[in-house]
Amino acid sequence: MITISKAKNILGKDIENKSDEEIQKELDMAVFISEIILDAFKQSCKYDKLRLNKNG
Amino acid sequence: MDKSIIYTRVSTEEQVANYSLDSQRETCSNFSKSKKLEVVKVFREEGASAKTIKGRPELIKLIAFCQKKENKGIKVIVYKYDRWARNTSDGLGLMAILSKNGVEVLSATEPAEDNAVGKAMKGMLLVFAEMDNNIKSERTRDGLKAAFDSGRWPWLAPIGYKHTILNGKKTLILLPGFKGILSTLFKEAAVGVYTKTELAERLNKNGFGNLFGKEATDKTVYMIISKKFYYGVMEAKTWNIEKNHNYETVTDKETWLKANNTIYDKGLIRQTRNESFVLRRFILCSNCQKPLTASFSKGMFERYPYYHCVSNSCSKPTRVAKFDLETGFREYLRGFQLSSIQTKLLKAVLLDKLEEKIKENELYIASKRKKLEELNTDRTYTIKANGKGILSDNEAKKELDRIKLEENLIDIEVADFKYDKNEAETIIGFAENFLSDIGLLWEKLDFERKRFLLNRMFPKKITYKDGYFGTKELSPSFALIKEIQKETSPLVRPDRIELSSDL
Repeated sequence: MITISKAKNILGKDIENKSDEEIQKELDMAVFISEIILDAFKQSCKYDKLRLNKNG
Repeated sequence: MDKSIIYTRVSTEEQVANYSLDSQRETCSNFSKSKKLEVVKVFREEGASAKTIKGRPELIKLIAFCQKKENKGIKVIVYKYDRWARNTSDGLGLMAILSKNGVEVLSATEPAEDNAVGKAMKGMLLVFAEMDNNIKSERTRDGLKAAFDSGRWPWLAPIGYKHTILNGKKTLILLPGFKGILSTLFKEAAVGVYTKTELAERLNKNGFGNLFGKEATDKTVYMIISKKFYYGVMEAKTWNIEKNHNYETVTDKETWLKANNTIYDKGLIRQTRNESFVLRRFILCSNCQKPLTASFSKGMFERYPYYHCVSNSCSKPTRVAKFDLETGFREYLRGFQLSSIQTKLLKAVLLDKLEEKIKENELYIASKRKKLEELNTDRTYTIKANGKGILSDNEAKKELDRIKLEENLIDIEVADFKYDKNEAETIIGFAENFLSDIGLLWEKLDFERKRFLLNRMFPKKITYKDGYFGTKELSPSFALIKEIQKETSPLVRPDRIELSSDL
């Protein structure tokens, strides 16, 4: 799990002026979007698999 | 023989102290007899305080009874004047009202003559009754304040807690099972996508009813979420003071603030949930800046969905068809992309989550392999048992069919998609492609996630006017791409992103 301190290391200079609360908000958003992406990726893989099966 | 009625009263505290109504009645009856009065009715007031008249139904009935013509001159007998009232002005006022019909109030244990001295005495006794009550109140208040100052919660325990005594000291404990569900409640409220009613439903689903003894309602949610106690602060609203406490907490200050801001202060999701209109109460009317609501208008053959302003004070209310508004909004979103910070962070979070998923996947497959091994053992046993005649051919066949079916189901489950370490690069590529268009991301979301994204992306909502959208504040996680908007959207003027005051 990515914590605020890990996020600070990752982002380095980019977030020098940001408070912990702002970083936490960015982190919340990243977690939210990452879950959507993983779901969407899973769906698209299933779709590809079905298409492959259908086409033999 | 003159008539009398008896009025008896006990408050809740006095019931505990065994200040019984029956003993009051007996004393009053004896007093009536001694005064040669015939008792025609008894009014029993149970569990009522005499601080005010409100909440004393029997007293109100008594007054109505005494004001009847046929009851003129009747005597009201009370055990003590403090049974009649603990507030001097109320007590004397009531006596004055009754005296208009010649009705007199007498105390069985504090006799006062019917003359000037006696009347003054009655007044004095009522003053003492009130003073006694005030002293009790002061003592109680001082006790509560002292307990509060020492960091002890002196009132009714908040939901989920219980007063108890540990090592000879009064304390509060968090009841087993409550920590998890209350903590989840705060987290879910902080997300900002659930209404109070939905939060209550989720509480009940998590077993709140069984623990608390009754199901949660939106009022329960309010009672819990609005209390700072749950993150470690005691509030005494009467004295307007706060103090940290050392009892076990269920949430932290940040989550508590998020939950309260989301649900109560900003009113972001207080509205009823209507999945037909995802932008409901999120888009503001350009004329009055009030949020648009939405509904279906009846046509000749079908119903037409609209977003519209319903503010009475709006001189030019906005009204727009659902299709137009939602299509325009989707186009508007195409003009945004993730900020560079968010992109960097997202990549790290994605890889982290992928690792988590891979671990989960490995555990899942290991458990399925174990199950397959067990099924294989079952098969061997079944065949042996059939060979030894323990199981008949028919029984063995049934058992082997069941084993085969379960094995097939596991094969299907395991063959389903699983995350792979080699997938990382592909997923990052997929994410980049997927997020190049926030409009595409929007389309993939369900109702709750759409509301979440709206609230986070545009904290001050969006204003709409004649096909154009604008906002006063954009989340720093997103950035505007003007070039894309100009090329693709005839509806959206990207430079309107910082407008609104001129709309």
